[in-house]
Amino acid sequence: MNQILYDPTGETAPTKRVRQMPPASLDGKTVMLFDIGKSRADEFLDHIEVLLTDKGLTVARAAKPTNARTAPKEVMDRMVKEADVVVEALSD
Amino acid sequence: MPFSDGLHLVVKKDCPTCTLIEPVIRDMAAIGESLYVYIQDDLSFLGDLPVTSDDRSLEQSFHLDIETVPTIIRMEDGIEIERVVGWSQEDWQTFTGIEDIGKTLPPFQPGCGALNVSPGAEEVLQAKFGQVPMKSRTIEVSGYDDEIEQMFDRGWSDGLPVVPPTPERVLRMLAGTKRDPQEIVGRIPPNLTECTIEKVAINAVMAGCKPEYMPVVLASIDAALDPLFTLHGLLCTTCFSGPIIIVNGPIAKKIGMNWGINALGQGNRANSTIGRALQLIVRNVGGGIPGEIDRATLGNPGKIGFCFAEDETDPTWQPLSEDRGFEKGSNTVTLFPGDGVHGFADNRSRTPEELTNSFAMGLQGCIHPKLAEWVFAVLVLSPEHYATYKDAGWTRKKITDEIVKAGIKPGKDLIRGAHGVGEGIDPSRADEMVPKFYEDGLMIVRAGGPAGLFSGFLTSWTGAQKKGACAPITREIKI
Repeated sequence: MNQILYDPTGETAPTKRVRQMPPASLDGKTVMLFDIGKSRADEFLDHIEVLLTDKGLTVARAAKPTNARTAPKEVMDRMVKEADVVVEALSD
Repeated sequence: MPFSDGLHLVVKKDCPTCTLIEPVIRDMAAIGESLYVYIQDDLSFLGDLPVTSDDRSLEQSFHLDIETVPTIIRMEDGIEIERVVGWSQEDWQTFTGIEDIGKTLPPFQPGCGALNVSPGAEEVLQAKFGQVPMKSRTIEVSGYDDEIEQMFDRGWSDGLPVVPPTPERVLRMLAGTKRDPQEIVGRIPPNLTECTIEKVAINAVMAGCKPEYMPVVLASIDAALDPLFTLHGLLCTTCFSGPIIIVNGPIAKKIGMNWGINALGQGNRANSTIGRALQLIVRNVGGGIPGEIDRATLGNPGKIGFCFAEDETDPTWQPLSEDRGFEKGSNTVTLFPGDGVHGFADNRSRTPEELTNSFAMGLQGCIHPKLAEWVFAVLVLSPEHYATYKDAGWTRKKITDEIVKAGIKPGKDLIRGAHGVGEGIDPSRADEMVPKFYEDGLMIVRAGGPAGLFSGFLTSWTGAQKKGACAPITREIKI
């Protein structure tokens, strides 16, 4: 006899979004370096900022208050408003 | 389900009252009034009568809402007008209007339990013949397939077999709460998917919970979704940790939880499955899957589920729930974002002062001996270690304060590079006296078997290193 089971998942279908293509050039673009709040991320990003600035790029910075939580909406909104490109990475 | 006008009688052979009234039933069948007789078990009983129907499927009994056999019901215009339960010569006479009905029988004999209300039957029949409140997608598994393997293949498991969430099991689990199955308990990270009571029940079935655990599971979800618990960070961290559930109050005893021998180990159903239910909800509803967004470097076996109760049997000990502001006797869960058990042995300290220094030394090892104000911790205090404090009249507060005080170290011993170890606190704190924990960073829970000078430490995840970023959360269990 067949058995009926209930689906335990959220039953959400992922929305497929077209990935935004990276810009052909970073000339005139603002590169946002996003500090996710892990220890020493700021030191690492300081170095990256120097390297990018030396190449003549405009660099902006944003940070999460703590790595323990997701970024507050205002931080996300500011990045969307001010950045052309965001660099975000997991550390450890 | 519509029933024809007339008399509807439900009986079973395995009921002395039903067999007692067999002559009455035969007389009534002969009279000619519309009579419908439903047999629940053995058709050799009254099966020769043309008015008899086979109800071994119990469908008619379910729709007639029978609890006892014999039960006779009068239907008019499709509506039940009257019913008589069991045998009472007087009641049956009034009901049928037949003057001498059963006059040779004893005047009264109670009926027997109907098969459709046998333990477990109700939900099976509800799922088969009734309306169910569930709205989740159903998946049909072929009788030739192994449903356990199907659930593994679908990614619904934490690596151990899960109990198939069949309609009847989910219905039984939903009976463990008065809340509406479609009520949303919150959004489960990381996908922030809305989670209904129904989804909780499905995952609780899979975890192996009993319905009476549902209030504890629901309170655990409520606590886990407090932003200060930082469930999202906890489930995706490279750290070892997961949610640890500590239960206080009479409910722990009521549902058979273990706070004694092997309290943090295996062997107790409630301890083993309540934490597992929460983790399955994180996985299945929220999408927190190891190797995907769960990036734990090592993890720990407690991430299958980690739940235990505090020992409240000693009246000299203030339970954790009271310490955290709840009234005496409250049922609560306290969620702690922690890792596995770090064992601690001290067989020699005989005074509370010695033992306090000893605990402070042991706790110094939480996450790293040279890291301070990085984590918080739970000390699971065993009965034999507590006896040393109890004999000296030390309270929970005094024990906690003194251990924290004994853990304050000169910063010069903890700074990076000190003692030939690169890890450590910021060198700028070399001249400070540095506590291991922030204020309120040490929580004590009493549990364990009566023998053994062993206690345990549970260390939080490092999301605690920024003061106020996260915290243990306590919630009342609403029954």
